[in-house]
Order: sequence, then structure tokens, then C-alpha cells
Amino acid sequence: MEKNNDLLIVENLTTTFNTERGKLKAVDGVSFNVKNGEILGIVGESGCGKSVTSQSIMRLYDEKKFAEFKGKILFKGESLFDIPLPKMRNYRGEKISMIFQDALSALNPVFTIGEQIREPLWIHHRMKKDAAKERAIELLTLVGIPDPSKRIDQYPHELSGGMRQRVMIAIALACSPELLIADEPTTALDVTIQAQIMDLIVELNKKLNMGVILITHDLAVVAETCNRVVVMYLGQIVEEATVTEIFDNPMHPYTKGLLQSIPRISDEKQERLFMIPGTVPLLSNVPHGCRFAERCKYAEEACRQNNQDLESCGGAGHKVRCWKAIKGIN
Amino acid sequence: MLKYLFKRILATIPVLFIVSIVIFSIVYIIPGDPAAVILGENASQEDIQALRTRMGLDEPPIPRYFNWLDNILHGDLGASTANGTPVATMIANQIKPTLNLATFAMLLALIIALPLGMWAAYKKGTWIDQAVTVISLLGISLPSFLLGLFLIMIGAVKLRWFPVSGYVPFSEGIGAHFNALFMPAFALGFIHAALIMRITRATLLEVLNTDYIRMAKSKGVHNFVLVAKHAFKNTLVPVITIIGQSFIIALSGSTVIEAVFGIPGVGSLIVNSVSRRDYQVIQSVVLLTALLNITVNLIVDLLYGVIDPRIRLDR
Amino acid sequence: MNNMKQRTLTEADLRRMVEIRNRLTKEQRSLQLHKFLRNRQAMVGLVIFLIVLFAAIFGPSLCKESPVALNVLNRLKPPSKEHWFGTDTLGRDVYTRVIYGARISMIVGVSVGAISGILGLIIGIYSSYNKYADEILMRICDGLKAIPSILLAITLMTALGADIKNVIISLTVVNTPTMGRLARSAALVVKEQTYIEAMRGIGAKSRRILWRHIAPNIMSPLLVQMTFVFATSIITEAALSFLGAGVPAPQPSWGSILSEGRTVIFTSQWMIIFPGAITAMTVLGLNLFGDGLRDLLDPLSS
Repeated sequence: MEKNNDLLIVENLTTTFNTERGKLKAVDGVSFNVKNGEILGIVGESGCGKSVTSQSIMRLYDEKKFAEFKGKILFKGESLFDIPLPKMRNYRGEKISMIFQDALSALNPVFTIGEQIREPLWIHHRMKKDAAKERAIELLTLVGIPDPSKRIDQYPHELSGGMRQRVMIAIALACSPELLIADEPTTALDVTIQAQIMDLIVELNKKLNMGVILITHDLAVVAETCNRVVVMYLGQIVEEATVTEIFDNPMHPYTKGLLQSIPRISDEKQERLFMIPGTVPLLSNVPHGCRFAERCKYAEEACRQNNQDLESCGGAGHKVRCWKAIKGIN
Repeated sequence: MLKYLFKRILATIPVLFIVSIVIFSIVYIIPGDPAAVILGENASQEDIQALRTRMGLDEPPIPRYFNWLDNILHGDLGASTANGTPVATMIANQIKPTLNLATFAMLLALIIALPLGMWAAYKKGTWIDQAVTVISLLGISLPSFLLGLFLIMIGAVKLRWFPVSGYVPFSEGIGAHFNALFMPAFALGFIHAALIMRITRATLLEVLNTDYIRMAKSKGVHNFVLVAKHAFKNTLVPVITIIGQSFIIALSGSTVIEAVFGIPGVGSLIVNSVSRRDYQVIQSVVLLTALLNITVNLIVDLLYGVIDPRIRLDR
Repeated sequence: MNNMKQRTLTEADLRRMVEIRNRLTKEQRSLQLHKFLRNRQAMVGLVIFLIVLFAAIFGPSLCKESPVALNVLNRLKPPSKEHWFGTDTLGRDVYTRVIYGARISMIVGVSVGAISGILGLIIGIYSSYNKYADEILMRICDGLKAIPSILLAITLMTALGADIKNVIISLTVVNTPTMGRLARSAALVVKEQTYIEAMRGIGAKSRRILWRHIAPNIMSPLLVQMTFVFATSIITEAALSFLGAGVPAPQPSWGSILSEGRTVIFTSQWMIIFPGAITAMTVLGLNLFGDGLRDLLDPLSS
């Protein structure tokens, strides 16, 4: 059965924020699943709700005043929204952990690296200082940091950017989570370091058989690492498919646009890089009908009138939110 | 570190120089003959001349300044113009109540301000946050001596829980000591509680919005630990800055509070010296306070490096 | 590129630039002013302050009695119809004395705020412009700031003698260094702004730049600070008078009324409650107003 293989199921997730300018729906009816040992890519421009989705899974937002969740998140069959908030701590860092975009701001500047790696070990396993130190060294070795026994006594600002990212991965892996959420883990890094970090994540995913959600704005990164990919636009999923399907047979105009804007070295002529015209509309002003219509060169009146649901189309598991693509017009 | 310390101490020399000149020149801004002013209207010409000689007013100011500075650098603060007692002895005799009062005031301020400021930031926008904002506004607007008077009316006159005035040395009983010191310390410390509360709340609000706090949360850190450990240490730099300043202001502000509560400290010494126009004493106390102020600032700067490893002191 | 720009800019262009800039600022100001008027705390503060100011200006001429009129038969009478705030140890009307005291507080507060503001402006502008002036003036400011304000005020008062004029002088000396530092840092920021550079490019006189263009642009933080100096001056004057080093008797300062009240605290608490409450309200009003003013004029610093 396929169902048993699912590590995480997100069903119809809606996240609403109460802001000074009223309620903003940052994520609107998002559904996807992550299988054991799979790397799922979530792709989209900044502000499309991909980070909000990931932080909603961990329930990191202040639910008393700031954020409201609707829908369902099942982690190994257990509904995360139904457990009391204090219990959520048992999941964070233990079963689900997270890598942030910018390691320099995500690591606490006033504590040593060792202290920050030991912390989840103490919280979740009550590991004593010596044992935790040993484990920390082991983890630093695992993420490829040379001379770990010296590094653990250093502060974040004493390391290079790539090192810091590795440290953050080590912290996330400390308790051997079953699901790792990597939120743009390489955006803040140099290109060569980016490749190293992505390789590390793929390698760890295979070695430890953990599910990974890789959030990125870069389809090229997805091509190299993921099994399946979800494309988000303005709080909604517009297309979902396996990586090969997305690259061979992209259906949604937005996905096509994203693909066209990847620079290709193999191109013989130096073509101008494609850019999707316009900008992402504000969340406070979501257009009626198809949310991408304003920037879509295929859009017509019907697109602006009617809401299209995400529908299966084409190859196995390929879904798209565009009636023209479904009917095969474009 | 040592090099930094040395550089910092070197940098205080011009400031100390200015301070010493300001304090030294005080005698020269007295309208008329200082000796005549000190001795009052009924003094004889001989007495005035004797005092002028004793104070060195017949010498030109510049050599007199260096002479004065030289004496101070050798630890000689001179003698009281009023009764000839060495100023150092007078200060030593009365420093204890002042130090105890200021320290107690600061402890009270910290005990009130840190938890409340942090709580307010953590519960931003709730009634507790508003209450803290109101308290800190009141604290800033209520002059300490006025708060002292109100406290006497309530705590000593109405409730009779505390003595209306006076000081009980530590050696005569811990309970009595703190009982006598509580109201003055509260009056002196309240404004500092307000200031520290404000800065703690504002800084913590900023820190709570950082990525490393979200990261810590994603590790499963308990909310209390999140604030008390991860956020707290990061709020300390601005907070200890204001604690350092507050301590000096409390120490000098005890002049007024000692007058309200009849505490025989350095403040009373100053007030008595004011009415006796005993410039030697006033100059010495002010100079020592400025020196202490500069030292406290230096210590605060050194603490930055201890708290935040990013601040490198050896550069 | 930069040079070209500077050469082609004429005085008229610049004037227009400044004009547009001023108009934008004015529009922004009027928006903020609306916000300020809706800021309830700031309005409450302003009203309290205006009431006290009104009492200080017109109150004395409305009072029937003299603040120094002795009436020994009437000593230490509790509040009544004739004496709203009661009478003091010498039978003087406390209400009248508090009203006259308001006059002293306001004179001290306004004078110290204004004079230290102006001196601070001059110090700040010159030290932002001249390296040597900066070095000397800032050292002096640091030196004065190293002495805690109440001690510096007491010391100066002892030398100059108890008198309202000397209170103003002392408190101005105490508050000017902070003002100077503030004005200097604000002026340094303004100086870096491009249009000042551009003016220098077309050869505007430096004195003109300093006073016509830098000075108006650093007034906002100074005005905000002046309200706070106003408030602290009222407190310090009261404290000095409380210690007997401020306004001399028998002139009625809030501090000296409270000092007298301290001696009869067991029996005649009206001598503390009324003047005390009014002192606190005045300072609170100024602080509320100052906070609102800061949000209005200097939104970045809050």
C-alpha cells in the first residue's frame, strides 16, 4: 500500500496571519505528501508561501494571536494540529527538524557551537554533557567539518559561511529526525559551497533514510536533488509532478516560465535569460480567478473569472492548476 | 585584552583632565572673595585673610591647580575648610550607608525590572505589557525624593511598617538594617527599575524576532528556556550599559534620598557642606564620583566582551 | 559622472530640489500631525502641561493672597474652602504657593530647555564642521557628562549661591553637553546627505550651509530632547530647592514646599500630597508629550 509509505501528509493547509492590515492568507489550501526517504522540492518565488508552509508544519507561529491554521497535517498518521501545543515540542528537533536560510542569523551568536548542538540532545534524550559532546563531534564529522573537537568550542562568527551551514545541519540531525525541512539552505552561500551543501543533504538523506522537504526558488537545485516537486504561487500549489515530468513536460505557464529562467551553459547561442513579466501581487490583494493570470501570456477572460482546482493530468501523479493545460490547449 | 584595557585607560585621561579643571575652577566662579563668602558677613578682615592663605587663594591659579592635582594623585584630598578634618576621613566615615543604599536600590530595581521587562516583551500587547509600560512611565515621571515622601506617608505614618527615618548599620542586625533601608532604596531605585524595564522590553522584543530564536524553537526548546537563556544573554549588552549608568546616578541621587530619610551618608556630608560652603569636601566627593563613573563605564565595556563573543576587545 | 552632475546643477535647480524636499516633508508632517492629534497619550500630556503653564502665567494674578503672607494664627490648617490645599507652618496658603511655585518651575524648565537647546545646536553644528572644534568641544562635553548631573548642579549652586538665575545657569551647564552630542550626531548625518554635498559643489558658503540647511534639519531630535530636559529640569530644580540649594526662601518652589512638608509629615500631609501630585503630574505630562513628539518628529529613534 502506498498510504503506509507516507511520512507526512498535508491536506488542505491554510495559514492566516492577523496583521495590522487585516487578515492575510499566506497559504491557501495546500496539499502534498512526503514519502519515507524521499526528497520533495517546494519551489516558488519569495512570498509564495513556501516558508510559511514549512513553519506551519512545525507550528512555529504564535497561534494565540498571530496565526490561524486550517486543514490537516498528518505526521506518520498523527494529526499535528490536534496535539496540544506544549507536546509539539517533542516533535520539534526530535522527529522533525529544520534548516534555516541564513546560518549566521540562525545560530545564536553568544553560545558555542558545541552548546548549540548539545541542546536538542539534552532536551530530547537527556544526554549528559560528555556523551552529548561525543555525539556532537560525531555529528560534525558526519557533516564534514574538519577538526571537530576544536570547532565545538568556537562561536558561530568564527566559522566560514559554509561551515556554519554545516553546523546548522548537524544541529538539525542531532536527534536523527525522520523529516528534515530545509528552507533555502544554500541561498546565502557561494556557488561552490552550495553544491557541497546540497550533496551533503542528498547523501545524508540516503544514509539516514529520512524524508526531506527542500524549499527553494531554484529549479536547478531541485533537478539535481529531488524526487518530486511542488510548484507554489501566491499561497497555492500550481503544479505537482516528479522531477523528470516537470522538466520534460511542464504544464503550468508559471512552471514553464521558471524553467525558462534557468541559465543553461549548454546553449549554443547566448540567449537572453527569460523573465516572467510583472511581480507577485500582494497577499492583501489576491486577484480573482487564476492568481497567475495577470502575468500569464496565455491568459484570457475565462482565466480571470473562474477558479481552477488542482487536477490530475498526464503522467502518474502529475497535477496542475490550469484549465488550458488540462484541456491541452497550449 | 590587556592592550585594550591600557588603551581605554589612556583614553580616559583627557576626560579626567577636563573633570579636574571643572572641579578645580568651582572656587573661582564664586562671586566675590570666596573666603569672605565662606566666613559670612560678620568675619573680620584678619580671619578672611587667614582663610585665603589657608586655601591658597593668594597663589596664582595655574600653579595652585598643579599643586592640588599632585596632592590628589598622592591620595591627599586636603582638609575641610570648615573644621580642618581630612576630607578622606570624612568620606570614609560616611561612605558605607551610601554604598549600601545605592547597591540595595540597584538590586531592587533589577529584581523588579528584569522579570517584568522580559515578561512584558514575551506577552507583548497583553494587559501585563500595558501595565509594565504604565509603571515605567510613572517611574520616570516620579522624582525620587517625592516618591520617598509618599512612601514615608504610607509605609511609616499610615502602616507603621518601616521607620520614618534613620539608618541602622549592618552590624546592629540584618533585619533592622534592611527594614530601615527598604523605603529609601525603593524610592531611589524605582526610576532605574523603570528605565531598565523599558530597555529590557524593547531589546527583548527585537531579539525574540530573530532567526536564532526561531531556530531554537524548532529544536524543541521550552518557551521559558527560550526567553531565559537564548534571548536573555543577547539582551544583556544594552541592559548592562544602562545598569552601569543607573548605579552611578543612584549613587549620586542618594544625596537627595539621604536628606529625605535622614541617612548619615556621603549625601548628608554634601548637603552639610553646601550649607557650610565647604568647597574642599564638595570638590573631593564630586571628583571621586566622576572617577568612579569612568571606572564603571570601563567595567561595562569590558563586560561586553564577556557577554558577546563577537565583540573583540583586543582589536 | 558625479562631477558632471555637479557642474550642470544650478542654484535654481538646487532651490527646486530643496523646495520639493520641503514640500514632501511638509506633507509627511501633516500626515504625522494627524496621527499625533489622535495620539491620546500625547494629547493628555499636552493638556496637563498647558494647564500648568496657564496656571503659572495667569494664576498669580488670580490669587487673592500673597505666597509669602504670614498668618501665624492660621498655621497648619487642613484643606478648607478658604485654603484649598491647607496652610503651611507659617500659615501661608499652600495653594497660592503651589501656583507661584509653578511659575518658578516653568521659568526654569523653559529657560533651561531653550538655552541648552540653542547652545547644543551651536556646539553640535560647529563640531560637525570643524575637526579641531569637534575635538575640544566633545572632550569638554565628555568631561562634564562624567560628573553625575545632580552633583554637578549642587556644586555649581554652592559656588554661585542660591538664586533662580543661578539654578538656570547650573542646569544649563548640566544639560548642554547631552544636547551638543545629540546635535553633533544629527548634524553629521545631515552633512552626509547628497544635497549638502551638491551645494558645496556649486560653491555655497559654508556658514550659509551650516545655518540655513543643516540647522533646520537637526531641530527635530533637539526639540524632542528639549521637552525631556524641561521635565528633568523641573525635577532637579525641585530637588535642589528641597536640599536648600535651589531657589532661596521665602520664594515658593515646589521643592521647598515639599521640604517644609517633610518636617510635618506626621501631622500635615496636605503639604506633601498636593504639591507632590502636581509636580508628578507636570513631569508626567511633559514625558507623555515628549514621547508623542518623538513619534511625530523623530520616528526612527523610538
